[in-house]
Order: sequence, then structure tokens, then C-alpha cells
Amino acid sequence: MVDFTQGPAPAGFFSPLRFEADVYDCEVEGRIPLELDGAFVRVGGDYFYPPSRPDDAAFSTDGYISSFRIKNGGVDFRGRWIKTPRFMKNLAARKQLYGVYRNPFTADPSNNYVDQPYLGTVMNTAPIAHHGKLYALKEDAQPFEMDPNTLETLGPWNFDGAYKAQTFSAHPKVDPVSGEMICYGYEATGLCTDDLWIYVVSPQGKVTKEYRVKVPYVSVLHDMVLTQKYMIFPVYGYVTSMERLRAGNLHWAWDKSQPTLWGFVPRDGSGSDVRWFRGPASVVMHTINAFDDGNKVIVDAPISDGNPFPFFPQIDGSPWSPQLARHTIRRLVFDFASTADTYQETILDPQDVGDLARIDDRFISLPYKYVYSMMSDPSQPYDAERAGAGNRVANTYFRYDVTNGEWKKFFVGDVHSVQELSFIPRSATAPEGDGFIIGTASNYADMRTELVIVDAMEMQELARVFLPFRMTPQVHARWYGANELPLAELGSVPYTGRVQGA
Amino acid sequence: MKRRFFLQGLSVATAVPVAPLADAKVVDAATDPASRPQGAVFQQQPYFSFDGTGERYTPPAANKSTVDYRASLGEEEFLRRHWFS
Repeated sequence: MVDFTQGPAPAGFFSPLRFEADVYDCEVEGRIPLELDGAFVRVGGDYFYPPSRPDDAAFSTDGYISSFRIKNGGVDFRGRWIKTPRFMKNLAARKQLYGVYRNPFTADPSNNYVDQPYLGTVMNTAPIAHHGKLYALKEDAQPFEMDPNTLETLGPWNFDGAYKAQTFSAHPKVDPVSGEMICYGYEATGLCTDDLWIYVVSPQGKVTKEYRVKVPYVSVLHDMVLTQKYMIFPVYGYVTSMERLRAGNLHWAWDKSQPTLWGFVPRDGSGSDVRWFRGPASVVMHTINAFDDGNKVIVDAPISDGNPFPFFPQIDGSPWSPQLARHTIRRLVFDFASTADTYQETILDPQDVGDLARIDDRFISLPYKYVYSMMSDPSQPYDAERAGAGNRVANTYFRYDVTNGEWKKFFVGDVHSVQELSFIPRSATAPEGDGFIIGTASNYADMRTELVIVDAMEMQELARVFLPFRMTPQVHARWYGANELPLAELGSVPYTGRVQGA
Repeated sequence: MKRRFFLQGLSVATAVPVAPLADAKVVDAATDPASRPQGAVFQQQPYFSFDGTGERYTPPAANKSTVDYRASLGEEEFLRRHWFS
């Protein structure tokens, strides 16, 4: 029997959903720009069975992929579980057989996958489209290919055996100049290994180059940045070890005594050419962008000074600090003309922001102007009577100009909290910033999910799509145009029965 | 009893079990914080906060999104629009 009453959210907006969904021709308010022909693909998770322990991290939820297919001003929605071996095995057993976050030592005794930790993946973090294929990603396993139209799971993919790492990050980068995908796996050869293996995948989907790097200490390498010269990896104080896992702990703990290290791998070199720079403790879970500037490299990221995730414990036993979890947009400057192993860090603006920042992807690895993300704007109203009390909502999308510090904001609603957005250029040749912002918002009062489309220059709403229910939590989402994925026309309910009056 | 008042009563009645459960957690936490972790939400992901530092989401006792709308309708108009209720 399934029982979620003892979970952290037995009722309300965050209680488990557990269903798959199709909504044809969704309800729309406003006018969806006719330029939009593509799909907004979300990946996140929801527990199908309760976790094995109450202290499990929220990132252990079963993967779920959903898509808003948009064309000619219409929208179809679809949501499907990602059918990992874990999901299917649990379903067959009708209970949770797996342990806490990325720790196979805590699994049901009947289910030993210590030597193959990737079999425990929940595949719940991000989508990526490349070479006409859609993948779901989780950094503890190789990617799972998904059908971009049915969202059915096609299974794990190792690029015809050329991708050797056991793992694949949720944040590969696609170089807009070459069309190559730069992807990587950390803990690439097994649990707690210090191997970072990096791969270049051609626009045709073939692995063309591999780099092997040893990291200074085993840490979460969740995201990276790319320039035309370098592949850049931040290493920071989330630590793990086999001793820690054997003792039954979650995979990560925060160790504030560890330095932040940035590894630069020359794209035209090899893994042994890596150069490390060193700075104070911080967390760079997500990045914004990077570019070369003569002998210098500029890296922008939302950075916090401490542990942003309250469900990953502090290794010294101290309580989680909301203050140290705050993110600000920061610019780091690395000087390759200097022999020093340090870097310069500047807070571009003191305002707190969400750490899920995006740019116009045509400017990845290149000088750029605009950052798009969300924030909690306390000057805006929040209707706690209708939406529920006590939650810090991200109620505002923003555009921040890194060249002059200008902000533009769009308030989504007084009962809403938004999730990660995407920027869509108006056309392939449109100047940077001319386009649309798209993202989902949780409407806590009406218990439904809304897709919000905003003019990115004016920061004004163009359209809102209403699902008649709340959708599973999202981690990351991306917009992919019909030129990037083989997307079908908008659908209708298939009918194979007898025809009336025939 | 008129249908509208019956419905209002029903909505209150369905909300009743939620409140005592939430209150019970508060009482437990007050007497023995370590024995009762707090349900919390981080970036729209629910989890248990064991050290009490997490941000708690307390849902409305009932869905109040239509309260203003319902109050704006007369009895006859309510029945005309929601005859199926």
C-alpha cells in the first residue's frame, strides 16, 4: 500500500501527483506568438513510492518529463514518467527498493548495485537536445534518450560505445559556433572516483574527442562553462567518500573548509593540460556564461558563499544557514598572463537572485549582454490567504544587463512561484535579447501550473497557458525549436474503434 | 438547507482533517523537536528539515481561490451557473 501521509508534503501543492497526462489544445489567455514552433521540455521528479528514509534529499524523486508543444498559437501538453530501471523495478515490486540520495549501500538488501551505481539513477534533472535527439539527464548515469513526441523512454545511450564515462552531467554545453556538444561525467569510473572525463560530440552525434582529468578532490561538478579556448569546471565544498556512503549517509555533505577550485582544460589540448585556480569557499551549482578576453577569461555565475541546499547536511554538524545560501550574480576574472593561481571575484549586483540563470544560447562561450532568471521580489504582493503561508516564492522573472547593470522585471502573480525559464530568440538572426521568455509558474491558489510567455525586450506578458492541474516539480527546462527536434504536428486523441454511421 | 450553503459546509468539512494534523505536528515539535522533523520546501521541492531551518509551506485550509467569485454571485445566479454542483 502506498502511503505518503508521513512525508514532508502530505497535502497541498507539493503532495505527490503520480499520474501521466495528455492535454490537447490547452486553454490559453492572450496570444501566443506565431513565431513559436517548438517544445518547452521540462524534466523534474516526483516520488512514485515514498523514499526509504525521511532524510532523503529532494533530488531522489523519480524522473518525470513533460512538454508543451507549441505551434500556430496552439499548445498540446504531455507528461510521462521516465522509465528508468529503478522506476520499473519499484513498480514491479510495488514498493521502494532503493536507498537514499546516490547511496546504494542504503538500498533494500535484495537490490545490490554498489558496483553499478548508475543503475540507481532517477534521471530527474534536465533535458538536452542535440543532433536531432532528445535526452533526459542526471549526473549519476549516462543520458536516457526520449522520444521527443511521445515522451516515451528509449533508454540509456553511450554514443555507440564511444562515451566511456559511467556518468553524464546535466549541463553539457552546445557551442553555437561549431555546433559541438561538450559533455562530461564526474565520478566517471565509479562511486567517489576522482575521474572527470570530458567528451566532444559532433553535430552528427559522434564522439570526436575525449579528455581525462583528475580532480583535486571529489565534489559535485554539476555545471561547467565554455569559452572558445577552454572547458571550465568549478569544484567546491560538497564532499563525499566511500566511508561516508558505507555509513549510510547521503552522497554529499557541505564542508566549508574546502576551497573553490576552477579547472581550465584547453579545448585544443588534453586532460593533462588542465590548470587549476583557487579561491575561497563558495558554491557554483549553476553558471551563466564565460568568454575569452585576450589573456583573460571572464566567468559569470550566480554564486553563494555557503550550502544552498538545506537537505545536504553540513559536515561539521552546524545548522543550515539561509543567509549563506543566498545567490548573487558575480563575475570572476582569470588572468592567464599571470602565474598566480588565484582569481578576481566581483559581485555585479547585491540583489538576491535564483541560481537558475539562462542566456540567449546563441551566445554561449561568447561575449554577451543579458542574463535571464527569477528572483523573489519582496516589493510585490503575496496573497497568503489564498496561496498558503510561509513560503519564499520566486515571483518575478528578470533580465539583467551585465554590460551596464540595468534590470528589467516581470511580476508573474501574487499566488505564483516560477520555475526555470528559457530565452527564445525571435528568429535565428534576431539581435541578442529580441525574443521571448518562457517558463512555468506554480499557481498555489488555483492548484495548477501555468506556462507564461513574456516579451523579453518589453518584459510584458504575451500569453499564459493553463493546465487544469499542478504539474510535478521541475528542476530544469529548455525550449527546443522544430529545427532542433523532429517534432510532430499538434496532436489529437487517436481513435481506432468503429465509426458511427459508417 | 439550500444547496449553496450545503456546498459551503461541505468545503469546510473537507478541510477539517487538515487543520488538526498540522496542529499535531506543531505540538510534537514543541515538546520534542528532534522527534518530529518539519516538512519544508526548497525551490518547490518538499523535504524534511531536521534542524528546523527549512522554509515551511502551509497550504490554505481549503481552496480559497473562488471565495471572491462565490461571494459576488446571488443565489439564483450561482444555481444558474453551477446547476451541476
